[in-house]
Amino acid sequence: MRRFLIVSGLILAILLIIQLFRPERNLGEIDTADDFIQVSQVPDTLASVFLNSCYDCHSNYTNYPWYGNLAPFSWILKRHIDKGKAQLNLSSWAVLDKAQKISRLDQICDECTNGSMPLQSYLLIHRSAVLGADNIEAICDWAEQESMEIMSSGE
Amino acid sequence: MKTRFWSILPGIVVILSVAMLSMKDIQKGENIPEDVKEILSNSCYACHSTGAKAEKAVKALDFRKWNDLKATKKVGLLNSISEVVEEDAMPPEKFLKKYPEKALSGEDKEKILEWTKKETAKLME
Repeated sequence: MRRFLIVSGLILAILLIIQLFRPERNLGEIDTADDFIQVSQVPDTLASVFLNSCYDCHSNYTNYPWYGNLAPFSWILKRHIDKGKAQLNLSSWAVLDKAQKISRLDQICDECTNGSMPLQSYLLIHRSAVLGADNIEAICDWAEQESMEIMSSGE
Repeated sequence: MKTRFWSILPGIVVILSVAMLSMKDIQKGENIPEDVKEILSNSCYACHSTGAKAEKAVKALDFRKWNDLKATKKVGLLNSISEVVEEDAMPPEKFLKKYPEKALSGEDKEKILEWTKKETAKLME
């Protein structure tokens, strides 16, 4: 019994101490002129899919879950968000050049199609972010069309 | 004798047209310059070509099917190629540990980057 108390007390103490290490949160401007949905004029139905399934990790603003402030979850979230934004930050879509945009659009379609995005661990908690076959088809069709437009747009 | 010639003529026509078509294919394949192709086949084809064991790598980029790709796909892949080459993300470290001779030299990288840039500009015209 005494041992049990000591161990659980220790665990509690560790859990409390790690709360002191708070990573910076991803709560930047939501609506910027460089945003993907604005710049590419993504149709409304698709825009809501992107906002719901991608923007938490691929933009400057995350809709945090209730445990988002709780270590060690806060650290895991921070890592996913950092990695996601390094690959593709939809909040700064406008800074990409034409070839980069086309490349990202192609990757968006590919990764949704082969199921590597959204992340399985994300989908486990965000059930509504699961992309249906119809969603994926719509994303790919639109992405291809947008790429063609970018290709033919002289600058 | 004469009738025999006429009976095999369709066959000859078919064979000739197939030969011409495949010649055209080969010519189409020439749009990756020889020196770049050599670098790619040394450092990339082991995983990024039809028949390679690395399924994911083949799916992401198969150089043998390069000519069948849509222009948008090509531009996308050229951009990815230039990115991974610049960042030394490809060939993967693990692969290079096993096959150090497949590493890209500074000159190789320059040649690849020059090609991706030129080819992208051409496709976007």
